[in-house]
Amino acid sequence: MAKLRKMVRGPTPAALRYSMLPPPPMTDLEFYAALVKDYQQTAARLPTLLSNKIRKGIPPPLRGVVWQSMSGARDASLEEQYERLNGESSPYEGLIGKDLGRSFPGVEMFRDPDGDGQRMLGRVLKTFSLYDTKIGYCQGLAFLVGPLLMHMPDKQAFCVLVRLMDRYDLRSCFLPDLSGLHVRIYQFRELLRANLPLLSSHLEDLQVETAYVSQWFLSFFATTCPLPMLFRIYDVVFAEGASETLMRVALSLMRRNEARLLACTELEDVMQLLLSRGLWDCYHYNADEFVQDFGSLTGTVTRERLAQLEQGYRESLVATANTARTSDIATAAARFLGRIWASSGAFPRSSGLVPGLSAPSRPLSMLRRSTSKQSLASTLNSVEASSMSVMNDSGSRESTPVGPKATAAASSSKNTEDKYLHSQIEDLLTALSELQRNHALLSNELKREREEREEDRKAVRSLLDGLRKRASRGEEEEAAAADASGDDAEDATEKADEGEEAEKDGEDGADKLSDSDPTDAAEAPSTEALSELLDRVESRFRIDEENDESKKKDKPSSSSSAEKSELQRELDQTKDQLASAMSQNQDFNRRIHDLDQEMSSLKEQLRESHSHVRALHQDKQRLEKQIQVLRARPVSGEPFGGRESGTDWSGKANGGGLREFKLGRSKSMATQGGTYNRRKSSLLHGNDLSSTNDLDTLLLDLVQAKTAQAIAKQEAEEAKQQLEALKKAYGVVMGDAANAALPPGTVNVKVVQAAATTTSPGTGGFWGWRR
Amino acid sequence: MSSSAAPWDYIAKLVCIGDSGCGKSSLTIRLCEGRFSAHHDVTIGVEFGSRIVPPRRDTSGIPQKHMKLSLWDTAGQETYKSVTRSYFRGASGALLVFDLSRKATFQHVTDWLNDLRQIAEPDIVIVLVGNKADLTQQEDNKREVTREEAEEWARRNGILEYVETSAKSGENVEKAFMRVAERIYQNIEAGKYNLNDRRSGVKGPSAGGSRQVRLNADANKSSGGCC
Repeated sequence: MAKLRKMVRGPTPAALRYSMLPPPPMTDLEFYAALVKDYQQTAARLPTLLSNKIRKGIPPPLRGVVWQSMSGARDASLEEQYERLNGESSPYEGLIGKDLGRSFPGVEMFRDPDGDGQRMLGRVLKTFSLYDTKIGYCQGLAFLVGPLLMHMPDKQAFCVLVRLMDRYDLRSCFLPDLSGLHVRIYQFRELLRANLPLLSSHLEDLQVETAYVSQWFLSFFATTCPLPMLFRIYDVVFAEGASETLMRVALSLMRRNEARLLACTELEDVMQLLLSRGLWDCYHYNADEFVQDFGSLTGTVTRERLAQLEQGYRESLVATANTARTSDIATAAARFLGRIWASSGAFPRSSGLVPGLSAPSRPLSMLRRSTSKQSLASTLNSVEASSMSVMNDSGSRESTPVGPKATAAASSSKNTEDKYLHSQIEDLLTALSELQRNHALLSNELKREREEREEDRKAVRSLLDGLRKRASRGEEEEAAAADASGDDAEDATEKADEGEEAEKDGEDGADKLSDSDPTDAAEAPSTEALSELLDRVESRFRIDEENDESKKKDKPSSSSSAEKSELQRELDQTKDQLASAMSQNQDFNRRIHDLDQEMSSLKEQLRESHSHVRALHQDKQRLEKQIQVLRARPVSGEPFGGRESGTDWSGKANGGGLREFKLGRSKSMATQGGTYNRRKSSLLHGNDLSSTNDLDTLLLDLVQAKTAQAIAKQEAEEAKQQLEALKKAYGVVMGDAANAALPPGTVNVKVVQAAATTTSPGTGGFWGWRR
Repeated sequence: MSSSAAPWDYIAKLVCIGDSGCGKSSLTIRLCEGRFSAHHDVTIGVEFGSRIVPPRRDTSGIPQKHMKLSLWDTAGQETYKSVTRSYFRGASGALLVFDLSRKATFQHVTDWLNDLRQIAEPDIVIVLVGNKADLTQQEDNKREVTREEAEEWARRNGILEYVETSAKSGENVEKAFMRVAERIYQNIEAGKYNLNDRRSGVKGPSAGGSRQVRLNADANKSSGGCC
């Protein structure tokens, strides 16, 4: 009923158009048949045609089938899983049950708590919660399943839902941490800032939280979007991807409403508009205009741009985490210590949480903070008292606490104290986790330092060995060895110092210092003993060194390790570059290959379209002939398509559903046999789909059957209307004439019905009559 | 007042929090639109409503000014906390809602309060609301939470008041919101909020750069008319 009312109230020409048309023209049907048969191939071959067709809207009778194909939801194993999980019980059943009546409550199909709509919705959601236990059930999912169920049975809806989650990158949006949603919010904010800077800054000035988009993205706008437009969003989502499409819709909505939003001077007005159905008024229920509008953002909101923004979001997360880490420790420590100091001052007996803690011991600041509690203590007694205390309160905030109020506060002091202790514990915990995090970082650093030290030690040791060998040659060389090792030791201590500086925690730093000490200590004595010889030896040593092999020369130099690591790094970088270049190369190769393939496929396509055109031409000729034949027969087919639209809905609302209707339809099918068969044959012919595969032909049949069914429905509706019109007409014309007028009337009605189904020439008179 | 540009003197931000299905949205709709909606959408993230509360004399005899309550009705499911919590900030009042006919929702009220206390302003005015009172007045009393234990909990946790409401019948709904509004008004009088900064929870007439002068003049006029 609401559906009907909606349709009556809102002039929805675009939505009505499809059912007003005679069944989708032949080529459309062919196109969708091909689409249903093999979406991937069709999408690859005819990307622009696909995009254009889809953006014009999928004909309603085909929607369910086409959606399934586009999402790749025809999967026997998924369906099997659905059957299997269906019987099990889910921990989310209670929550789901509560939400069933709150999802699309305005749609007839989902209104009855015991009706098919809610039952199927519940089944799909429950099964999904068992299928994807990580998501389980997230409020908002029902809004995704609803539109699916309006076009297909529950099992298929489940499969499409699963595909939406895993192939359309929606899963992260519904995970318990809503991580995907936060990414979307960030992307939206940035895109808004870039594309609608004026509006963006206006909203920022009003302190509007961008989180309002969460219901847009999680429900695909279903909470406020009129259904005919909602289905069009789905059409495009399935064809072009969810995140891009939804972002485009969101941005175009903002763009369309920019003037209205800029006119709002209060946060409240903005929110009211953004979260209401009024947001969609700007499209005047014109779904075509709407799709065109958000389609125009295709170049602005691209997958690459979104990926780039997501990257930016992740980086900003890391950045904030890093800065937070450096500053958090200090603040957490300060807060923590502050608490301790404050509490030790405030609660001299803080260990004894006795309610009888005397009020005067509480400092002034505490009283100020707990005014609401004071009043609570008194409101419990009487309202009068509460107002009294309230009056007092306002005074207390300006001046020092007064005696009587303090007694009132006494009873609540325990609460405050509890609360304080709680927050203290929380602070302690945060401080602790902060420390733990830091500790982990430091120990990492320590490990690195240790490794470096180890390397230093190795270098020194090898040097020493070398020198020792040469020690036999003379005293001077020995001195040189001491010098070198001394240098190294100094270097080591220097490094240790650096390490210490890097540490924020004194303890850890000291730890490391002592760690590097042994090296120092080991080398120190020899340095001392030989220090007097240093100056004298230095010159000789340098020369000596220069004569040495380059390896030995390198080792004692203090920069060796640094150089080595640098070289290492360089090497790594080069390797990385090489790898990236290689992968790029591979990419290029692949692309070339792809392009080759594409070229050949295009050629093929061309050839095919040639033959197609030829076939079409033949078809056309045949059709022309047919038309001539038809013209010869006075048929009143025109008025058929041109009137009713709600049939699609009323059919479902009647509880019969699509399938039952299909069963009852056979008669009209039979009468339609002639045209129907012809259509089928031309379809196969024109498309070169030699029906080797049974399934494919079945699918084709299904598509055609659905179309035929829609026609049949319309016809039925027409017939009904005619019947009514006739009844009325008879009532008016005959008036109260007599009961005798009735039999002829019924006879006529029968004729009309027959006419409607057989499209016999005899109906002409009745049509004229009706007009 | 009607001559003034804005029909309010203050805007106060209120949040409605509590478990899923307690009737937060129903309460909001009841207050803002004066009707009971058995069939409303599940709240995803946040919904919004507002209502201007008429001036009302408190017991001290000081007439209040018009206050616009901006009501932020939040999603109840745990999952949405990361979204809804951002709305707790800058709220001057809160309705902590539970379902009288479901004990578990009352048990979770403590968690909600902790969340609120962590994020919202320290002075936030909170009223505990036991909703669906109509279910306790039927022949088969569905009450699972007694008035005494709810009152006791409110007392222990420094809650302003406990109110039992029925969004269905409308019983006490006004009262619950009015209690919050009155207390916020008293806080305004006491100068607790920075009326130029929405983040403090209340926005006053003087806020907003260019309109300041005009609105001030309006406010003066109106207050002159009231007294």
